[in-house]
Parts: sequence; structure tokens; C-alpha cells
Amino acid sequence: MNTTSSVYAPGTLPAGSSARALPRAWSGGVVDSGGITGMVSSIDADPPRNSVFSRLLHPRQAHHIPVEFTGSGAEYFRLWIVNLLLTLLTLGIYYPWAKVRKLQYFYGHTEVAGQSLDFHGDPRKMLRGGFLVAVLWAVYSQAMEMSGLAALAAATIVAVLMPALLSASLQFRLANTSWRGLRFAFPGTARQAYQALAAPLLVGLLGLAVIGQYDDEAGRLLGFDLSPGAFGIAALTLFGLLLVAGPYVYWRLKKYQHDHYRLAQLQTELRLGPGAVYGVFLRTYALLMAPLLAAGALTFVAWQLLGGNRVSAATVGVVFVLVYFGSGLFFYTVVLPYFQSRMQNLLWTKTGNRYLRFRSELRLRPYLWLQLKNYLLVALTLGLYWPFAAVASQRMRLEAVTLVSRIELDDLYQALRPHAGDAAADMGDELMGFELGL
Amino acid sequence: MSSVCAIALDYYDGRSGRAQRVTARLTDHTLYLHGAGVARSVPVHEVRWPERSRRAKRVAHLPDGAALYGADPDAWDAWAQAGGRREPLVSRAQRSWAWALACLAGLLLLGAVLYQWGLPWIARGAVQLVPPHAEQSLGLAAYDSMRESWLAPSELPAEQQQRLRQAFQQAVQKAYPGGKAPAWQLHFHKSRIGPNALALPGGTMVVTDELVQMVGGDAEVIVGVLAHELGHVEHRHGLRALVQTTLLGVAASVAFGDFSGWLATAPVLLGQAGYSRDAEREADQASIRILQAAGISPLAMVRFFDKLAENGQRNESPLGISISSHPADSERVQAFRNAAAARR
Repeated sequence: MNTTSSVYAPGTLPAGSSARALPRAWSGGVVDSGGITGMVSSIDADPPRNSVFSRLLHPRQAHHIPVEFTGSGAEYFRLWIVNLLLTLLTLGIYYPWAKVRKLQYFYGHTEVAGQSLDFHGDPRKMLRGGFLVAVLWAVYSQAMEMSGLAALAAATIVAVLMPALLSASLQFRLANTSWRGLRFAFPGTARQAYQALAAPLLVGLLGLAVIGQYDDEAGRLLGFDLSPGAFGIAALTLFGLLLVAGPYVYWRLKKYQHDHYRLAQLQTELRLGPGAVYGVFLRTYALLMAPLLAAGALTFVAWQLLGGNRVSAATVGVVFVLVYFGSGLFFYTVVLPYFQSRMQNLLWTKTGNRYLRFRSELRLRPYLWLQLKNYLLVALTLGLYWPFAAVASQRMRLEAVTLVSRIELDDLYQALRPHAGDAAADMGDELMGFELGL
Repeated sequence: MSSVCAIALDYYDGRSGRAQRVTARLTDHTLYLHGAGVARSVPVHEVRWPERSRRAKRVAHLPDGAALYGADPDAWDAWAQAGGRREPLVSRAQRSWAWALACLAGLLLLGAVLYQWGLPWIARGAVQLVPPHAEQSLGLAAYDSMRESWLAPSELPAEQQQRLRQAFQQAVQKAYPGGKAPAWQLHFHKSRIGPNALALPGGTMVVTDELVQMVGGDAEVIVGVLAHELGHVEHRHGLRALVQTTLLGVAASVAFGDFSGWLATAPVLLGQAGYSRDAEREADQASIRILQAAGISPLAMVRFFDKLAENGQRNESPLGISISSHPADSERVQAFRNAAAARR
């Protein structure tokens, strides 16, 4: 895959080249690029065969193609700061342009087999989607503050729309991503998204309804009348259900996503049952609970040592702030990176098909250190370090991934250009802020 | 005329993953491509040109889904420039540290202006739009939930409640002649939060039994405290805080949100604490005004702070006032003392 461009002036063309076949406008006598010295082309003479791949390599001879990320924190810092100022000055109108620039930066610096990805969403269309999201968000947050019933209604509407928006979002994002001039696609339908998410969403809404009944007005209208005891039991049951069913829902969601990534003739599949996902979740729960219990015990001991004396409001405030940011730091630098790295490895290593698959080997310890460093530096620099942090995280996550290909990537062929999505798709993309999970 | 007019690039037709080597030539209006099996021209404005970046390969998209890849960014840039492509201003700004630093300075300035004047101004405007009955129902809802969770019926004798209520009513009448006072309702409650008083949107005010007991039923002090709370009601601080927190949240999540929502709460907390301190100062001014109109010395509030201090409730947090929601007590006491001295 060694390709080098060469720049040349018309006067230095090698002899023997011919300009006869060129259109009139090529008055400079430019020749067929094949005759230029010092240039190696990645094409060979055969035309692409639009069928099953001509050669399928033995798994042991498969190409291992690393994913490379060439972005730099300093460069992204400048992009971020300029876009942030423009977004603020235009009261958010510029936001879609900023978002496209950001995505282009990250995709454009992600290289696979010598060529980078590219994002080409249209900011003008995204502005419309963003505007719809802003209106929706305003209505939603307004409803939240008005009454319990309105909040419940708003949550119901969002939950009902969510699967459709998810599939629209994925379609939009992938249809606007390309590599080697080939557009990605997401053939998953809204119907499949509903099938994957309907049951868990219903359970979630039931939970909201139970909590909503805590609000008098909503309870009255829904005809609930739970005693406080029954309410507590219901809430606990729901929480338990969330812990137990959460990993299954997550697996259904990931299965829906990873079963439908498509490039040219190839579509991926997630060859993974829910069992392994439960494993990662359980270990994450344990990681989450351990320090919480420790902090609780410590507080109890401290309370006993103080003899249960009344402490001033200021002290309580300071302790609250310390606990809030301490537990936040723990969550974001230990629990979340643990979950992210383990899940990325699990999901992407099991994603692929007969011809092409991924392998993800994100190592836990360096990733934890990186996140700790990122969060500390972001806090110390009052946020200015964040572009550097974003680039460093992305680099580590992407460079852990290898493509294992049993075909020549040159053989990829796309007969139909995928559907690029519509306004709902732009909106879905805005709402979901979808990332490939890398 | 520059000598760089043509360049060899990889052309992908949008159907095949196989590159075709082409020679690309660029004039002001048209991009010409030629290679084995490729001969086409595309108007320059229909091409989606790549943004400059040090290490990214250049990719240009043609309207029918075909793409041009250039592995050597420098060569591409030289070629594009020679072909009359001018880099957009935003793109140039992104590449220069001088521009970036100027933007950073502009951002800090804009942030400071927005924080100091913009947000409070917007919040005041937004609060104007909220009808009083909506504000009232908001306050009543909050009051209901507080009664359920941590307020108990008052154990103060009814005549003491009546006496305090009357004292405050008289003070308000004198301070707002012609019935211009904001609507208020006063409730006494026994609570789990110790001596405290608070105002909810719409004029619902709550005073705890513990506060009345702490000051030994001193009516002047209670009037001062209630006048402070009425100041919050008059300036609609509760509602303003709601709007300001929301706006701060939006601003913070735009700036830092994609990295972490949790970290973005820090600027919101700090910013809201700043607004809250301003609101406390404003309410203290209202308290001074009402006390003086009623012929009570602002020193009553100094007595209140003394009692608080005796009770171990001094607000001099070790982290300083930068994160506190109230100004330091010493500053507030001084304001009341100054008011009392100025009157004499």
C-alpha cells in the first residue's frame, strides 16, 4: 500500500508520453500518470471483480492492518478554541460547522491502510437538526419543571422516539463517513431498533410512572395509590431490575449497532452472547461499590469520633463538595475507563465477518493512567487541557485496534450508494452524539 | 504564475476500493482529472475541499461520491494554492498560534462579560416573562415537598407566632407605602435543619422554630431576617437562580461537555455560588431598607449574626468564599454596622 504523490510541472514530463486522449482544456500536455517516474501506484492492471472476492487468504496469512491516529493535541487545541469562540459569538448558530470541523479532524487523522477516514455531513442540514433538538430540549426541560405529569409525558415521548432517533443517527453518521471514496452505511432499521429496545424502555417508563406517583398530581391522574412502604419496595425492585437487566439491554443495543456496520460488500456481525457483557458489568459494579462502602464506613467512624456533635453548615458543604468531586474523580478515572477498555476489547474483537474482522487490545493500566492524567490536567488548567486530553484518549483507543483482513482491500466494491438520511437523521445525530464506541 | 499546476493523486470512483492514479490540474474554476479510464472535469465550487492540517492526508470529495486522496499534504497544499484555492479564514486561524491565543483572550473576555452582565441580564428578562401564578405554584410545590421531607408543624405558641407576624407586617407596610409590597406568606415550622429561614419563589417564606428560639423571640431580629427573605422574594432570586443555573449549565456543557459532564458541573457550581453571593448582598440591602423604614436599627441583624456565631454556625469556611454560596459573615455584619452608623 505504498503510494506516493509526486508534484510536477508540465515542462518536465518524461518523453514518450502522449496527450492525444486528453480533453481540450489540458493544453499543458499532461500525460497519463502511469508514465511519471518516481511514482508507485497502488492499482494493478485488473479491473475490480464485482463478485465474491477473488482470493480469500488463509487466516494465518491474513493482513494485519493497524489503525493509526495522527492527530495532535496542539493542533486540535487551536481548532477547538477558534470554534468555541465562533460558536459563542454567533449564539450557537456556528455549532454545526464547529462539529463538522471537529469530526473531520478526528476522522481525517484516523488512518487505515494508508488512507484516512473522512466525514462529510452538511453543516447547513445539521443546523436544522440542531435547531429541532434545541426546541425539543427546551420543551422537555420546561415540562420537567412544570409538573410531575408533564415530566412523565415528556419522558414517554422521548422514550418512544428514542429507537427511531438512534437508527436515524447511526444511518446519518455512517452514510456521511467514507474511506477510499467508499461510503459506510448502516442498514439497521428503526423497526429493528424498536425490537431491540421496546421491552427495556417499557420497564424504564414503568419505573418513571412509579416515581411519578410520588408526585401527588401525577399519581392522582394515573390512579395509583401506593403506600410509602409499597413505594419503597417498588423503587427497590426497579433498581434491582435495572442492575440485573441493564447489561442485557446494553448487549441488545450493541448487537443492533455492531450487526449493521457496512462498507461496500461487507457487513459486520457481533458474535457475542450476553454472558461476557454480564461479566464486564459485574466487575464494574464491584469496582463501583467497593470505595462507596469504604467511604460510608469512614464517614460513620468519623461521625462516631466526633460524638455526633452538630457540625456547621459550611463544614457539611465542604465535605459534600469533596465527596462529590472525589467520587466523581474515582468514577471517571477508574470505573469508567475500566468499563470502556474492557467493553471496547470485548465488542470490537468479536465484530466482523468471514472476510474482515477487528481486534482490539486496549491495555487497562496505561489507559487508566492516561485518564487520571487527563482529568487532573483538565482541572488544573481550568479546562484548557481538554483538547489535548481528547486527542490522547482517542489515539490510545484507536491505536489499540487492528483490522484483520483475509481479502485485498482493493477488491471492495460498492454497487449502490447508501441512502444519506434526512432531517430526522440529522436530529438523531445531534441528540445521540453517536460515536463508534471507540 | 507558479510552476505547480498539476499533481498525481489517487482517485477513487466511489464504487471501488481500488485507487486509480490520476493527474489533477486546477484552475480558478475547474478541476481536471485524467488517468487510465478517467477523464473528467468538475467545477471547483462543487468540490468539497479538505481543511489544512499538518499530518492529515488530503481528501477532496466530488459531487457524485468520487474522492481524491493526496498522501503528501505539503504537495497538495502547494498545488491547491497555485490553482488559486484560497484557504478560508477560519482554517487559517486554526493553524496559527497567534490567532488561537487571540481567540482565547476573546473567549475569556466574552466569558467574563457574559458572566458579569450577560447572564444576569438574560435571567432578569426571562424572569419577567414568567407569570406570577406560575412562580407561585413552583414555590408551593417546593414547599409541599419540604413539608413532606423535613419540616414538622411548629411548636411555637400561637400568640408568639401572631406577634412576630404582626411586627413584620407593620414593618412591611411602612417600607412599602401604598401596598406596593410583594405578596408574602409566612410559615413557622419545626425542622431538622436547625435555625434557618428561607424564601421560595412566589413569596412563600419559612422560619424555623429553632431560629426563633435561638434569638430568644427578639421580634426586631426576626423582622430583620424576614426582611432579608422578602428581599429575595422581591428580586425573584429563586427563579433567577433557576434560569442562571440552566444557562450556566448550557454554557459549560458547550465548552467542556464533550469531555465530561461531571467536570462541567464545577464551573456551574462556582458560577452559581457567585450569583448567590450577589443575591445575598441584594437581600441584605432590602433588609436594611425595611428595618430603617420601620424605625428599627440595622444593628438587630448584627445581633442575629452574633447569636449564629455563639451557636457555632459561623460562615467562615476554610476554603474561603470562592466556593461558598454566602458572602463571609464578617462582610455582611460590616454592611449592617455601616448602615446603622450612617443613619445616626
